[in-house]
Formats: sequence, C-alpha cells, structure tokens
Amino acid sequence: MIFTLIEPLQYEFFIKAMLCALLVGMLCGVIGVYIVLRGMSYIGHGLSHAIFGGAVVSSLMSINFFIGASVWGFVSAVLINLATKKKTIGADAAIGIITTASFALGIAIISKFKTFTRGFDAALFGNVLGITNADLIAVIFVTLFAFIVVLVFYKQLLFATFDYDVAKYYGVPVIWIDVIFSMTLAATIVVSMQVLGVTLIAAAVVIPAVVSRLLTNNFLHMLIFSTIIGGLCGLFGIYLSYYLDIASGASVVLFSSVLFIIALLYSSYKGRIKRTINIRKNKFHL
Amino acid sequence: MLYRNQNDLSEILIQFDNVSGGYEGELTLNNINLVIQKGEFIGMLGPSGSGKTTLLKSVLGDIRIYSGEIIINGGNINKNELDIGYVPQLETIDWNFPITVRQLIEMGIIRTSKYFPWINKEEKLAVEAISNRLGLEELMNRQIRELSGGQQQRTFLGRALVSNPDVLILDEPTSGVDIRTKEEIMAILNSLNHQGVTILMTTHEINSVASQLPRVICLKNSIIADGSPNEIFTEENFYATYGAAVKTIDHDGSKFVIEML
Repeated sequence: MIFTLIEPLQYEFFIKAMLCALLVGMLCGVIGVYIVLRGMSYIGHGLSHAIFGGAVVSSLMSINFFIGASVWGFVSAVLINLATKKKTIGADAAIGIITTASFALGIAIISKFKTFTRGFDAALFGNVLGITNADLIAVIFVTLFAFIVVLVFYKQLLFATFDYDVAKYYGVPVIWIDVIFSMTLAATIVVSMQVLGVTLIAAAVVIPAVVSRLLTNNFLHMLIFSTIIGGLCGLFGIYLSYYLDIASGASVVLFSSVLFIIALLYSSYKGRIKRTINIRKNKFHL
Repeated sequence: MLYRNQNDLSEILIQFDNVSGGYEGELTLNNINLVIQKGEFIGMLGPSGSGKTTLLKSVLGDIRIYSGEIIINGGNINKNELDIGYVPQLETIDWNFPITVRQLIEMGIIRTSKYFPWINKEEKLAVEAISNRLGLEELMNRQIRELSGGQQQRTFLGRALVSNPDVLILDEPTSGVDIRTKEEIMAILNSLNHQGVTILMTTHEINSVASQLPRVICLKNSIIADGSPNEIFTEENFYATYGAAVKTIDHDGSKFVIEML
C-alpha cells in the first residue's frame, strides 16, 4: 500500500513536476486573490491567450520565450488596466478585446509560417512532466518575486484593490502599484503556462481565491488560505494524475473544482445554521 | 441643535482664487472664490451636478484646474502638505470585500506606514484610540457588511481620523441613514470640530443637517451664497441654487425650508 502511494516519487521528473505544480499553485493562489477581488476573474484566461501571441512572436524572432512572453504579457496587462479605468468600457470587454486580438495574432503567424518547427501544444495544454531545470528556476524566481511584492506592498495593494479612487487621496501611488501588479501577473501567467497551459490557467488563478473567500471574511486570512489551497491543488492534482492517467493540468483544475464544491456546500450549510440560530434567538427575545 | 463654531478662525487653510475646473474638458466649477479657515465646519448644498463633489476633489488635487489657483497652507496646492482625511459616499463601497473594521481603520495610517502588513505599537495605539472614540471597540473583527449604517459611517470616519488629519472631507455622510444615526454622525462631527478639526462636507439635507451648521455654501457650478444658514437661507438663494420655489420659516433660532410642490 505504502509502496503504491510513493511509487510516483521514485521518478525525479515527477518530483520536479510536483514541486513545480506546488509553487505554481501557491503563486496563482496569492495573485488570484487580487484578481477575484478586483472583479477581473477573466483576466487569467485572457492574459494567457495574449501571452500565447507573445510566445509565438518571440519564437519567430528567436527571442528567449520567457523574456518575450513576459514583455508581451506585461504590455497586455497594462493595456487592460488602462482600458478598465475608462468607465465606459467594462473590465470584461477590455480583457476580451486585447487578449483575443493578441491570441489571434499568434494563430495568424502560425498559419502564415506553416514551416514552424516548434510545437505549441505544450503552451496550450501544459507539459509539467517535461519541466526542465531552467523552467523550475523560473518558477522559483517568479514565486519569490510575487511573494516579496505582496509582502512589501501589502497595504498599498489592499487599499488600491478595495478602494482605488480613494487610495490615491491617502498617498497610495496607484499607478505604480498597478504597474508592479501587472508585471507580477504577467510573470505568473508565463511560468504557469508551462504547468497548466493557456486553456486552464484561469481556473488555477480563480478557484483557490474563490474557495478561500467562501471560508473567510478577513482579507489576510483569504490571502493565506488561497496560497495554501492553490499549492495543495497543484501538488495533489499532479499526484492524482499519475494514478488516474489523465493530463496533469486537467487533474489540477478538477481537484480545485472539487474543493470549490465542498467549500460552497460548507458555506451554504454554515449560512443556514447561522440563520437558524438568529431566528431562534429572535424567537426567545419576543 | 445648532452647531456653533468655537474655534479661533484666524488661520487660512485652503483658498480658492478664481478657480475654474472640472473633469475631461467639462466646466464643473466656475470662478470659485472661497476661503476655508482652520477649525471651520462647512456644509455644501446644491443639486446633483452642481459641483459639490468636484469642489471636494479639487481640494484633494484630483480635478483639472483650467484657471485660477488653489492655495493650501499658503503655498501652491500639494496635497502632501495638507493631511486630509476623506470619507467617500458609502454608495461607492464594495460591501462584500473581505475586510474587517480593524483592517479598514488601519488603512488610514498608510501615509506613515506604507510597507509590509504589520504596524508598530504607536500605530496600534492610535487605531485603538480612534476605535474607542467612535464606539467601535466591540466591532473590530467584524466584516464591514455586517455593520449597521451608522457603524459603517463611523468606521470610515475612523479611517479618515486615525492619522489626525488637518482637514476632514466628507461626501454626503448622512446619506441613506435613519434619523438617529444621522444625529449620531452629526454629534461626532460637531465634537471633532470642537476639538479643532476643520470639516468640509456635502449634503442634500437642508433642514436636518445644513441648517444646523455654522457655515453653508450654496453651489450651482458657482457659489450662489456663502454664510450662516440664518443669513443665506432665503427663497431667492434657493431658487438660484435649485431652480425650485421654497418657503423659509424661522423656528427656535434656526431657519428652515419648506418645499413648495
């Protein structure tokens, strides 16, 4: 029994994959809190598509994938933020336009240059089992960077997320905070693509944050829970994919979805109990 | 209850010198000349779109000034030289945001405590002191959605006051609350003003709020009238401000307005 449980841990590539998925899960968990609370849940999906376009262009121009995709992702994130600030355009419209245009550019280039030798299947669906040491180092670096950003700029990020317009009156440099956040978000999406692929990143960014929101009304607790839940989803999702013999990215997202259902049921049950207690309290007071 | 100004009003805090300005090419404020002295308690009346919130935001440095000058503390406008506590309209708040009363009040000290999640002992004491002063000590770990209207308003007041601002700016602080809560809020503001806090607020409530203030400004893109309610609450001024006929009556030392529908 024990041997069965530790069987995948015999393979170095699998341990690397689990470590990568753990870190990416934690990274998406922490960034996802800000995405969900800003009402930009679609941005994970959209930005990953935008970065796909950047990845294709980078490949064409023989530019390092991480650098090219990160720059493209950062520019897309900044454009989305700017467009969102114009109240006439909703966040969903801004994300939809900018990111699908960028994705379309990538598809157009691939279809034009049919002699492309590089396969983009890994970018679309993830290839965590094919993670190289360089990929892992990139994930570690971006995770550390994101945690440092969230730690150092905790108060300013919180204020800008909660009350953007008022934050500037209290001296928060909201534009710089947006720039730093956009950089962190773009880097998160780029490294997460290796694990989950363009098609599944949105779920990894949104689900841990939503699950943690169902469990707490305290922002700091939400941040901590989301990080832990994201990490566990990554770790156990990859682990289970070995036994279920399914795509690793899909396994991560399905595991997260099950946690979401459990949290939703728990939250509804807790709400019902609270209402019942309040009704009984009021009855006794009458 | 009539709030009387008991402060020494000799120091000019904010001065508007022929100021015209607005948002993105719109002229919302037209040739405003206004002096706000330290320790004043001023209410602004006017219909929607008259520039009340715009005038508040011009003090905060958030409006394009097309002509004229806003002078703060004797120099050109630089909001870093004036510590301003701002309480927005509560209708603009996301009440589902997972934030507690304590976390919200702690936001108010961000000017001096910019980085990292934690605050020092002095700042903790300031947060405790303001929460006690506003009667929020039992509510510190409650999420803001769980609070009553008056408690919510006091929490945002706490955020604005925790850093001991020079000026407290409030946008319709009694909007959407019941009579008792309104009295509570106005009593707190009156008490703060007596302790020397300069207060500038907007309101739509002529009789229950504005008529009780020491100084009221009637605004319709320009200043229509500026003075004590007894001086400026006239049928002519209200017609010029709101474009509606009203009748004014005297009662118990205060002037009140009756809308003629």
